Amino acid sequence: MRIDRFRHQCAIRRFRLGLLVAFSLLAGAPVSPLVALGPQQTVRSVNPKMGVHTRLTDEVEPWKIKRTLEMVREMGAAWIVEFFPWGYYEPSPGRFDWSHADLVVDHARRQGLTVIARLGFVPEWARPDPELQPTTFTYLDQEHYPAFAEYVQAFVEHFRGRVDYVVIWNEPNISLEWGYRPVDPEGYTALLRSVYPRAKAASPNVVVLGGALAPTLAPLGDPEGMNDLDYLRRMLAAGAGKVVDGLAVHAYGWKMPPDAPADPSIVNLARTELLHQLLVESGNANLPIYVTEGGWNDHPRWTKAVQPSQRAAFTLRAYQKAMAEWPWCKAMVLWAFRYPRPANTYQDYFTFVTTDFTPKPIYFAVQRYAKGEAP
Amino acid sequence: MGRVRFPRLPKSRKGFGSPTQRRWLAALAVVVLATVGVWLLLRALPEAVDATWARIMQTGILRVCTDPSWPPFESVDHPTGQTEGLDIDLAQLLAVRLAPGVHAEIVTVGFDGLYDALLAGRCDAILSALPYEPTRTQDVTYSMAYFNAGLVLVTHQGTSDIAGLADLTGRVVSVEWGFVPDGDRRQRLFLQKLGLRRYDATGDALRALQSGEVEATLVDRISALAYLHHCQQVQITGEPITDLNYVIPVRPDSFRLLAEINRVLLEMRQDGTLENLQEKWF
Repeated sequence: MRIDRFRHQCAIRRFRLGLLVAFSLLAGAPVSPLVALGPQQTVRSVNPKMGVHTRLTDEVEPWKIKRTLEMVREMGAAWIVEFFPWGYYEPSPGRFDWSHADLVVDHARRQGLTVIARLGFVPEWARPDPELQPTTFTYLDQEHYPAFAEYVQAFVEHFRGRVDYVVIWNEPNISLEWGYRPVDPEGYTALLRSVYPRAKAASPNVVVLGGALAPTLAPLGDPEGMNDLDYLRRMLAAGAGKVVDGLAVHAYGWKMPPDAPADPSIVNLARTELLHQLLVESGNANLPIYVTEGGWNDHPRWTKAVQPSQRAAFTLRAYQKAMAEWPWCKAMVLWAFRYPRPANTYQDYFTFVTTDFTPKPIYFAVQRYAKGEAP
Repeated sequence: MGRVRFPRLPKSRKGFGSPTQRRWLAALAVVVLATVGVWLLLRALPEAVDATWARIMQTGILRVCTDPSWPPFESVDHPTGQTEGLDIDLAQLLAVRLAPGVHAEIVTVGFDGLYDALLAGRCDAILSALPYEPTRTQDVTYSMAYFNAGLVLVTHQGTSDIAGLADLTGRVVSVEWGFVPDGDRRQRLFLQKLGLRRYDATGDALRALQSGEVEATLVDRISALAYLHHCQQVQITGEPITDLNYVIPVRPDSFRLLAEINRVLLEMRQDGTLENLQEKWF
């Protein structure tokens, strides 16, 4: 009798142990994605140069990433620009974690979108000791150029065949984006020189884009930045044309229509033509331009905003212009498709879709244009 | 010897009343002691001070941030360079009524810097046609509303068969292009089904009403009031359909200032000052 009871207790213990082991194995098993990539999609649009800048870097939930990219495709945009911060993906030297970036890129590709990756954001470990010198994530000294080049190489290697375009840095002609230091076209060209061979070593087909300058009329000696035309001129004089495959351009229209003529003393969409002209004059006519940010804003109060109807009309015309009149422009990517959360400023009025995925009237206007319907 | 039997004594009554009564008495004593303790503690604590209010009382200056790019609420009068508008007048009147000898000092700040300027202490309050924003209530506190800029229904002067949204079914209604119905879900669904006629700007939508192309217009109240200023042929029908309340943000620690601002705004609402300001600027 006593032996039977002992056996029974042993069996219960074994069962409990088995449950524990099974639970532990399940807990440690790799989690399969809850949001499936879905079938391969294709973008249908009369204008293959249309694109939008997405803001998925800080989007946590996979379904939101997928829904955003689905809506981009459904609107008829074929290109996206997305930011892949160095500090996020290489948290310590040589240790890479691409899981979030993979999520974004894989969903984008499954929707049939072409990704242009903007690379920047210096991790703390590549910056001076904050006790000695406080810096921001846009501060990169020459000593750490090789470390950034290594990140670019690792990125291009990891995404070979999935991401074929990389933009090196963002708006280096304004002090804010250059670590609050005086801007330095030659220094930035040195950065490109450091990065370019590493990117090409990882994938000879990758298109390395330089520039992405902030359109600004800053006067000479302005501590906040340098006129983008002057900056590009100096970049090209320093040999930037040999270490890029194209130029990224930010093309904002502010209050001016897309057909307002180019003028060095004005910031408008046609300023892109002046940048192209500089490439031609410096013997770099072969370098294409990719507009990676731009567009109009329809905030009711912001002084640089236009009416919603104007914004829609200007946006369609900008896409049309890139397609019909700018053969040297390969993509017209406008700011910004959707924010992960409201900015509660005029910035919210740049978007095509609200944070809760409600399409704005401009979204439908672009969609109709992409389908070839009359606006 | 036999056992001596003592007479049985009555039970001694320790304390007062029955056990239940004693328990109630003890509870009451605890409550009284706790109340006295809290009272003593509160007396010992220093009184909360609104440093902003104290400074306003000391200097006689209420600093008000505004972005003068939104007429008729705030703009710069180009010949004189002075800021003017409904909000500027309101700031001056508000300051005077806060306490004797106080006047408003206008601090001009770009629209996107208004909240930062307030939080950084560049001003004590913002008066710049700012709508109430629930997402900012962790950083600032808002006064009661002084103007509702929500959506209104505009009809021909003398129209009596359109009194509200329900009367719009089957009618031609104009809106500005880009108009996205706000308000509750039922309202939005209703408006989406109306088959609205869209015009490039609010002025165009209202002109369409004036010329008889449409029977009603849905626009924000500011556009409607501005249009009515020079066109007597149309009228605002009823109360705003949606609320977009303009309010005055102050820092969360400016509790006394906020209470005083609300007191004055309430007075202004009751004595017609707010209405007079609106009539002056529209």
